[in-house]
Amino acid sequence: MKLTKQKNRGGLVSLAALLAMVAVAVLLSGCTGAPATAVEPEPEVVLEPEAAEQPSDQVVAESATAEPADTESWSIALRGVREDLLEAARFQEAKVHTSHYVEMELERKGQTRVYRGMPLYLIAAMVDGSDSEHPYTVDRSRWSEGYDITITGADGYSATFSTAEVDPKDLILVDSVDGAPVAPMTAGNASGKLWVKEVVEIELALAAVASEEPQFELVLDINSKISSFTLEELEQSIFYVEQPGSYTTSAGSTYGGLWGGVRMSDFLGQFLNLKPETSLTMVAMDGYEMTYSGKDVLDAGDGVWVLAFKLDGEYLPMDPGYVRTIKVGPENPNIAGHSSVRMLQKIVIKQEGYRDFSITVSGKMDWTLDRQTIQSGVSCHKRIVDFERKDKAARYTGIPLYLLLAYADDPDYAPHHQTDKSILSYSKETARAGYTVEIEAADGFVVSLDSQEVDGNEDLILGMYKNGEELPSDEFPLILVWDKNAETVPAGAKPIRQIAAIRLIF
Amino acid sequence: MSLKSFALTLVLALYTAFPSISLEIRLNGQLVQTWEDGELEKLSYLVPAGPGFSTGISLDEVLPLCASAYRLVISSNSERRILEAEELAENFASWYLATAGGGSWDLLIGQERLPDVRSIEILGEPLEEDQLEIWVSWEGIPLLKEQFRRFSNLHDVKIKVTEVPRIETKLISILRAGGRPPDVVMVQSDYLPALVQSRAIQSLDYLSFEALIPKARRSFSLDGKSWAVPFYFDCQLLFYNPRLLDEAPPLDWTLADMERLAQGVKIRFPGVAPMNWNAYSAYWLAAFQLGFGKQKLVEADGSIRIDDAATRTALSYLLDLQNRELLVVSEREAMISLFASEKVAMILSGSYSIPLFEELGIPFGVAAYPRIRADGRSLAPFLDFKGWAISRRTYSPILARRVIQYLGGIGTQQRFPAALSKLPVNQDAWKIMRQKNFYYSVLARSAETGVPVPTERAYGVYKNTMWKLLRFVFSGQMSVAEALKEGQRIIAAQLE
Repeated sequence: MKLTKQKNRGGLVSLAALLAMVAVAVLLSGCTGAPATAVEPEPEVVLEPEAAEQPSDQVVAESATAEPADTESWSIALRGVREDLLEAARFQEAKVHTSHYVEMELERKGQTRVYRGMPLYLIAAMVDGSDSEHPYTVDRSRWSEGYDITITGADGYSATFSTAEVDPKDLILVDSVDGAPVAPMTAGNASGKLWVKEVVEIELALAAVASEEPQFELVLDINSKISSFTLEELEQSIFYVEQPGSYTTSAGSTYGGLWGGVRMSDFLGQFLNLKPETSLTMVAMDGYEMTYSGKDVLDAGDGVWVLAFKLDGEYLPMDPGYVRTIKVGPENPNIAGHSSVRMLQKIVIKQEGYRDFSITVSGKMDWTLDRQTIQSGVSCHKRIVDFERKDKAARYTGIPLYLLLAYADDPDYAPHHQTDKSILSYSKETARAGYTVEIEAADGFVVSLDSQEVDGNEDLILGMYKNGEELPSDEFPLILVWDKNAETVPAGAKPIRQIAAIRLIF
Repeated sequence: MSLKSFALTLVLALYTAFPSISLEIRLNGQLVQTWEDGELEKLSYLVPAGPGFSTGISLDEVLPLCASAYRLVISSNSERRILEAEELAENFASWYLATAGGGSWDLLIGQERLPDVRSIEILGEPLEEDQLEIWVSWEGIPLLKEQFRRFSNLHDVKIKVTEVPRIETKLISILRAGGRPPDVVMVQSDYLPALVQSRAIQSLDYLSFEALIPKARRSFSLDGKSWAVPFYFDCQLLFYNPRLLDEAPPLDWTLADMERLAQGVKIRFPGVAPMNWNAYSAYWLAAFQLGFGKQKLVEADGSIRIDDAATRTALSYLLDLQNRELLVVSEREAMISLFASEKVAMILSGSYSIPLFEELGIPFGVAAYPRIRADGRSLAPFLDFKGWAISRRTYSPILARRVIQYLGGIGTQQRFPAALSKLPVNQDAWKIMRQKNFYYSVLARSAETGVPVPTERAYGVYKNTMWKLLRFVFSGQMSVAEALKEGQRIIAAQLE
């Protein structure tokens, strides 16, 4: 309906109706008096401007009631690759160059006027590159390729255009109209939206990508409700404390100091009723995951768990910071290194309870591996397999079995427990020489495998998650599975569930 | 039949059989549109006409979109009138064509009525902008899209409307990434500090807010500038289950009345909570602070004080209600669930809940917030405005403005807020609402005593800080004095 031609049918019909009515009116004229004429208008009546509805939003520069615009000491902020300020005095200096000051005769609102000013592209040149003083190189190719320019007036009005759609000569920054000085405005052979009065800013969308790092936020995912906190917010929390604590790595190195952070149980207690059976998964920025039980977090016996982001008064850097979980207290508690999650990004809490477990690995050494150790291994050596058996398929996430054999395949070296990292804890040579790997379930069921077929076999894993979730009760805590396309499936392999022990028989 | 009767019958027959040309529209000398009487009638609604209302349509829906217009020539059968001014197009949304019967339309410009208009000629610049992207949120999206569709069809422009749950953060993310923002976004008051600081939106001081109710005019002001045009607002109300109260709360009731009704519930319905709301949120505390004597939530210097007597009294009062088992504190979802299952007699919620409760078939009544005492101040409900902000980097600033003017016009203001029991911002629409909205008296009272949600950053800081502390107060872990003292320290530190 924007532009509809007068419908011919309707027009002809309407004309016929009109003529018919005129004819009938003539017929009736003997009874009614002088004929009405629907065509001849009365002479034009012009309403004086002051009688017309004055729009209240328009700041009319000529209006006697409006504050007179500054025509002499104005300044325009320029933003682009660099920032600058175009002041009236500087503008006056530039005008002496004939190429910098042009004249355009333009019609607007029924009136033709002479506008004088500087082509906008010359002003853009001040900030479209690294030139910081005159002469500024005009980057015409960039103008042709197109970038956005936003012009803002003193009343807040902002309009943006792409330089690719405007000829450089068509838009000028005006300081004179019909010889009278005006506050700087943009005008030209361009859309009315680009006629901006009292320009205060011209911005080119050419700024370099912001170098500042995005602000870090610690994310809480509590029963799928997401909230996030900046370090600043955490430090302002009433749960912020500064107390000593330390952690010791598997290699025996201890790191400690005065940690600043929020008490985890109190902080999280704002969002849920933290119970001993609650499961809290800490997710690091590099994907590492560690699960704590609510019992761990609530236990304040030798110290409290904090989400620490300061050490000895300094903010933790991104690596290994920004946030680390650590236990602190007046007694300077110490924890195992793998329990302290560094680069913490997110805490995920779901309503189902935390289930702890441990398995034994025995052979030339004997170890009991707790849930956190296994989970740490899964995070570091994650392997996902698509397992199929008897027409049932599932995707399992876990750790290759052979890596756990490293705990018991020699009397000296175990994963993450030697200081000499040049020595691999896993003994490939021993595996190739051959030994039996027995895997026992909680109910005593045993599966026996040949180490030669387990050696280096990335497709044979102890699965800890099924289809992205914790294992169901009948498989928990670990299940032996393998990829459906595995090159080698050890003889005797069965998907043994509820694994409780691994024994190496030499 | 006499010749005269025959002629009269013929005229009437012709007039009925063939529609007459009602209105011709010309732009810069060219005929661009012809409106027939029937077409205009189909689009019409109530428009202000003198002391009352008439069926009509606003001029911005009839005329082509113009970037600017400096002259209107209005012709009727008997005269021509010329209007000349700098920016006539800015007024089109508040000038109207009103039906005068018999296919005739009068033009209403303020108090002046120009009868039987047959043509309008505009001299000005047609609007070249023809597409817009708008982000919307909150309730009533399908109905809102219908309003945009109407505008789009009338003016043959393309409007892409996208529902975005969290507009503030998404807009800032897009700008940081160097992406193209939408032209118009729907905002609420507490979006302003972040959007203004990130230079996402432009100041709208060049627009007129005269047609709005007074409380709406400054509802999106920050640092002395207006940053959005209000569209509608919700107000906080007390909802009650009429089956559980001894009587309906009167319009002008007091806290003592409220407690008496609550006591009645406690005695008669032992398993039912007399009152329940999310008192952990400062959004619901503010009304009590203001009722108990606080003059303004945000001080003139942009700070917030919560260690004052009014806040202490307000929080102590709520704690006392809880201790007397007249108030149970729950978060919103639980509160709604309990109210729906008639386990709670009175709750505090926003007028946005009215359509939900109607849809659920829950028995409910609404009451305005009570006074502290019969001769005292009223608890001051928050007036939660939603409005339209224009992106600073829009390619279509004038089309954006025209759409916003249309949304604030009496047509949309009648159609959209009324259907959702929201409150219009257009003054004339309020007069129409009086006759059409079942809850008018309560809503009007709430609008009268209410205060707009603050736009200052301090309010956001205050809300976030109190969220943690109020839990400690209601759980008994902190006293009122301790919590307010600690809260003041935290707020002051964050605002430094």
